[in-house]
Amino acid sequence: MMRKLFDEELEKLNVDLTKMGHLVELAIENMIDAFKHQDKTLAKEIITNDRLINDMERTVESRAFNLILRQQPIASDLRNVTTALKIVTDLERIGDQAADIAEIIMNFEGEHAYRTVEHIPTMAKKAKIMVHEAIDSFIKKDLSTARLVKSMDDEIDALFEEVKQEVIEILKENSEKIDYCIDFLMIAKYLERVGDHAVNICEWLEFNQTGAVNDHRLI
Amino acid sequence: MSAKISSKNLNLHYGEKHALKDVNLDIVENKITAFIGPSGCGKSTFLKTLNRMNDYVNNVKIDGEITLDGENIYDPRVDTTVLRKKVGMVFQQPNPFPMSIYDNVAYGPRIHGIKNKKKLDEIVERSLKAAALYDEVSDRLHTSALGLSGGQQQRLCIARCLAVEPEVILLDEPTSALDPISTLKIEELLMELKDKYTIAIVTHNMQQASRIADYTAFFLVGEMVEYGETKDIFSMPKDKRTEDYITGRFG
Ligand SMILES: Nc1ncnc2c1ncn2[C@@H]1O[C@H](COP(=O)(O)OP(=O)(O)OP(=O)(O)O)[C@@H](O)[C@H]1O
Ligand SMILES: [Mg+2]
Repeated sequence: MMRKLFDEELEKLNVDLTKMGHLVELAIENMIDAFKHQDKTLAKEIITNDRLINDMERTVESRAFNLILRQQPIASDLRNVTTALKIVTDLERIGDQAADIAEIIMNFEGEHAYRTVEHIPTMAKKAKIMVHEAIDSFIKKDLSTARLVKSMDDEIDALFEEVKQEVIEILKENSEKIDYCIDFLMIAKYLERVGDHAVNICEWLEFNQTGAVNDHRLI
Repeated sequence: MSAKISSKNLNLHYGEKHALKDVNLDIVENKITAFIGPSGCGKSTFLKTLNRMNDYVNNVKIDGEITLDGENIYDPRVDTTVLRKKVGMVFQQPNPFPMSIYDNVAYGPRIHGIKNKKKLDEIVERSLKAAALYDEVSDRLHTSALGLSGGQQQRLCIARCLAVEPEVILLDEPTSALDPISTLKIEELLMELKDKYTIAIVTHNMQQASRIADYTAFFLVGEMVEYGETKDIFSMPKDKRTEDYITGRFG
């Protein structure tokens, strides 16, 4: 293997992945701002920028496939390339979820979900922290932060249940609010999925460092 | 997993040169074991200790033990002709003898006293078939082996090795001079042969080791640095030197 060439290509792959991570973090941050302030212009921007994230996914995939094709990486090289391939999917999905929520914000009429449903802002903040820490742990190859993120998954799942209860209560009081109650619930579900993808990123870091995920040996 | 061959505290000196340093390693029966490592690290030297091919080298000093089925092959009472019948060897460059295909394969059995024509015919056919060469040469068994392609010559050498019914086959970079198709043919052949034989192979081709070997040992300047299941060595090697070598950081 021509090590210098390989190292350069791997470096490019990581730079792209890191850039993409920053874009995804920004999408989540903007989404929360747009949500908080009912800012439809910002929501629109998130949807436009999501195409950038999707393009970056293709770039990272193409780099990874070509590295495998041309260099047949093994050991840590193989783990680095395959980790990139897995993480890029989770990053792209987080971007999608930010865009999905932005879509709902764009069509919001009437009641303000961010204020109506008490646990939604908490969920949004938690999701943002999870994404930030997951990406950071990956960049720094920091397993302890990754573990922390994994432990937050139960919290965000519990918050989703809380939101569900709240929405049920709202509906019990006034069944005419069904339209935006569905939106609230969808937003909460998207946020919960964002947390899942953040956890996935952490699991792929674990694989990258140990060859195993949750004690399941993959390689 | 039973060890067919065990190397115990094996040390080898070529004069002053300490070429093998305390090598401890088991070669498992009916498995393929690959030896990898940079040029000059002692792979061929180690392979040759397994059937005492180093006996011919001047000034060589060997300490420690190599056991075959538990018997020390360096015991002075061991008959090396018998040993080499049990532990056959195939080299990097195909080296057919300048004689017919038939005579190449019949050579070993004849040395071991088989004269009966029908019996020899049988052995030649069986060995060529086992080496996946028979169909390609059955109509020209009595023409010169030197007229075969490189890949065919190498399979002939494997057939020649099989003809004396060995238990262990040692191969020193057997495909380094071959094209990809011939290489894959030899690799498939080795995968089939391991049901009946124990195989040890030296290779510089990491992909080859990971394709065919059950176990892999990494050598570095005379030392056996790491030995384990091939999938572990190529995915999560324990020693940093192994990782650095297989990922092309040195060597
Ligand atoms: N007959 C000999 N006399 C003296 N030194 C020797 C002899 N044969 C090998 N050596 C030395 O012993 C060391 C190991 O050689 P060996 O041939 O086993 O290496 P190798 O790992 O098979 O290398 P390669 O991958 O190049 O075939 C080398 O330093 C070599 O120079
Ligand atoms: Mg050699």
